[in-house]
Amino acid sequence: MHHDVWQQLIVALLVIGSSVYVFWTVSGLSWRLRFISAAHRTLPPLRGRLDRLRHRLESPAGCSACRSGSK
Amino acid sequence: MSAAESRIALIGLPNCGKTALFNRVTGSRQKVANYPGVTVERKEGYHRSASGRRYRLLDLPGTYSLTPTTLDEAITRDVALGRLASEPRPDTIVLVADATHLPLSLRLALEVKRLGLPMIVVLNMTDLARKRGYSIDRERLSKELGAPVVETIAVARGGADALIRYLDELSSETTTLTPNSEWREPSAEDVQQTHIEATRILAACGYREPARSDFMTSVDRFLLHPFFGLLVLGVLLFFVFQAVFSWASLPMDLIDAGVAALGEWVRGSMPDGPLRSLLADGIIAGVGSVIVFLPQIIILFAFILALEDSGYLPRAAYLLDRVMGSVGLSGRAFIPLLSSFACAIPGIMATRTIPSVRDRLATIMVAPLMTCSARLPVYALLIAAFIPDRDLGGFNLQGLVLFALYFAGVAGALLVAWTLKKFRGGNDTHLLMLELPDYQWPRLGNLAYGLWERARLFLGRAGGIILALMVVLWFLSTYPAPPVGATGAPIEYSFAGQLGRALAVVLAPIGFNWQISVALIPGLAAREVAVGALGTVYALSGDETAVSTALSSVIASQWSLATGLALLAWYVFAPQCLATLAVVKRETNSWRYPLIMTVYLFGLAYLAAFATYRLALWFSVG
Amino acid sequence: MGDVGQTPRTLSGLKAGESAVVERVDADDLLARRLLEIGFYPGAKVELVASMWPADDPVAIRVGGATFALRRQEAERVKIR
Repeated sequence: MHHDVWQQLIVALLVIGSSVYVFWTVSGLSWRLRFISAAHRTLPPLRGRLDRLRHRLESPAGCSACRSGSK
Repeated sequence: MSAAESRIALIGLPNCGKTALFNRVTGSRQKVANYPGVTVERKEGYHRSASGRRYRLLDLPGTYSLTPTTLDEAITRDVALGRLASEPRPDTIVLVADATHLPLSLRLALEVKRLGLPMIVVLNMTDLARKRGYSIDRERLSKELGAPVVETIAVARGGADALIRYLDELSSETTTLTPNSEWREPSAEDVQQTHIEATRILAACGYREPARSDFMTSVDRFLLHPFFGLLVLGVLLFFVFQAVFSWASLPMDLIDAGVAALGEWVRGSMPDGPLRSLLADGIIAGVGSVIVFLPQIIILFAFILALEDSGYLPRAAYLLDRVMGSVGLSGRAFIPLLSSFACAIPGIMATRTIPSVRDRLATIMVAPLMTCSARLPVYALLIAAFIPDRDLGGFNLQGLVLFALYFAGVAGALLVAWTLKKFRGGNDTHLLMLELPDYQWPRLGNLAYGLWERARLFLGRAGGIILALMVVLWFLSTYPAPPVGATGAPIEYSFAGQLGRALAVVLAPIGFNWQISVALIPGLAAREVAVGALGTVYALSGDETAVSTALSSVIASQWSLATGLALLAWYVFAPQCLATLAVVKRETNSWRYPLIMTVYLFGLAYLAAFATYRLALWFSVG
Repeated sequence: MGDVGQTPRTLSGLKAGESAVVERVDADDLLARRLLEIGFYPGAKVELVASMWPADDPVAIRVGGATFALRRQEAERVKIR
C-alpha cells in the first residue's frame, strides 16, 4: 500500500514538472511573463527567484538554444 | 581606454578565419545573443591575459567594406563607428587578413584605418599560404600601414599566441590616434585609391602571391562545368542519401536492441504500478524511439559539414543559381536551404545574408519544406514498416523511396517559390556576387566538433522537450483510466484518446486513424516527437507482447499501406514544428508570415495526404 | 573581335580561360560599388574560370586572388579591354 502512495506522488511530480517545462519551452516572451506573474501570486516563497527571472527575461536576449552556424 | 577592460572588435572579410581566431582567443568564454531589435547575431567573448588584463572581444560579421549591402554588414560598420546606441565604440580594431587573399584584406585594412582607431593587423592562415609560396616583408608592411602586423594560425593550438602577446603590449602604450570624427562613407574614387594603394604596398613589401596549382584550377573548371558540374552534384547528393540509410542501419539496430532491453529490465525489476508504466511505456519507449535515429543524423551532418568546410557549397549555389532564379530564389538561398536539410531553424537564420528582402522572405517561406533531420525518424519508421527492404536495379528500394521523399520536399519548395514569384510580380535585381573560396581538405577537428555539437543538440532535444512531452502524453493517455468492465483498449478512454477521436473525424478522409491523430498533437512541438508519441500510444494500447515488438512491425500490421503512404505525404509538408514558426516570427518581426506559413503548409499537407490516400486506395494497394 | 567603339566588351563576353583587364564599372549604385570593392577596379586583371549554360548566367571570375560568381546582369556592369 505504501508503495502506491509514493509511486503516485513521484508520478504526479514528474507530470506536473514536465507540463510546466513544456509550457515554458513552447511559449513566447509574453506568455512566460504572464506565467511568472501568476506564479508570483500563488507561490509567495518563490517570489525573490521569480523576480530575478522576470528581470532577466525582460532585458535584451537572444536565441541560445540553437546556433546559426553562419560564417 | 579603461585600465580595467579593453574592448576589441574583430573585422575581416568573410571566410578569413576570423571566427576560428575568435574561438581560439576566447575559448569557451563566449556569449551569443542578438543585437537589440535586429536579427543579427552578436558574438562576444572574453580573454584574460597572462598580465591579468581582461579583454572583451566582439566578433563582427564579415564584410568586404564599410559600405554595407546587408544588415549584417551595416552592423559591422555601425559598431566600428560607435553609432549603435547599445554598443560602445571599440578601443581597438583587430583586422583579420587572410594571408591567401591579401590584396582584398589589405584594401579593407586601409579603409578601416581611416576610422582613426588603433588597429592591429593579423595575418591568418599563414601556414597554408607559405606552403603555396607566399612571402612578405612583415616589418615593412607594418611600417606602411602604421599598424602592428602579427601572424596567426587560428586552427592550431597556440596559433593565436602572437596576437595575445601583442594585445598586452599595445594596451600598455598610450595611443596618439584619435577617432576620426569627420569620417564619411568612401566614394568610388576612394575605393579605387585603396585598391591602388594596396597594390603599391604589396609590391613595396616584396609580396609573393601564394601560387594556385593548375590542377586545382582544372578541378574547379570541371566542377563548375554546366553539364559535368551538375552531374557531379546530382551524384553526390544521391550518394549521400544512400549512405545515410545503409551505413546507419547497424548502429540503429544496436540502439534499438539496447532500448528494448532497458524497457524489459525496468518492467521486470519494478512492481506493477503507475511509476513503472511511466518509466517503461512513457519515457523509455517514447524517448528511445527517437534516439534510435541519431546515427542517421550524424551521417547526414558529417556530409554537410565536410562539404561546407571543403568550399564546395558555394559552387553548388553557382550551379543551381539559374534553376533557383527561375522560381524567384537567389542562388545564395542554396546554403540556407541546404542547412535546412539539417534543421530549418539555422537555415532560416542564415537567410540574413540575402540582401534582397523579397528573396529573403521567399527563402524563409520555403525553408521548412526542405526535409529536415527531424523528419528522418518519421520517414525511417514508415519506410521500415511499409517499404520492403529489397534491391531495385542495384539500388536499395528503401533508400530510393527516401530520396524520392527528399525530392518531393524540394519539388514542393520550388513550386511554392514559383507561385510566390507569380504573386509578387515586379522585378527586383537579385544580387548574387558570391565568393567561391579556395578548396581545402575538410578539417577533421572542425568536423568532429561540428558533429559533437549536432549530437548534443539532438540529444538535448530528446532529453529535454521530447522527454517532457512524452511524460505529458503518457499522462493524457493513461488517465482517466477505463471504467470497470470496459471492452476497448485502455487508452481509448483517456484524454488523449478522446482528443484523438475528435481530430480523427477531420483526418479520416486522409486515412489517419485516431492513434495517428493523437500522436500529431505532441508532434507539433517537434517533428520527431510523433515517433515517440506513436511509441507511447501503441505501447499503452497493446498487451505485453505488442509492447515488446518493434513499433514498425506494429504499425505495419495495423495500418493499411495507403495510410502509411498518406502519413508520409503529410509529413513532407506539415509544419509539425512550433520552434520553426517561432523563429520565423522573430526573423520577420511579425506574426503575419508564420501565420501564412502555418496555413499554407497544413493546407498542402492535407491535400497531399488526401491525394496519396485516395490514389493508393484506387490502385487497390491499401 | 567585337566592337570597341560602340559596345565595349564586358565580363559577360569572356570565354573560358580568357584573361582581360578592367576598364571601368558602369553606374554608381550599390551594385557597382560592391563590384569595385571586391576587386573590379580599372586596371585589375581578370580571368574567366567558368560560365553557366545557357546564357552565361552566372559566371565565375578570378580577380585579385579570389574567385567570385556573378550573375549576367552583374557581370555586364564591368567593362573590359
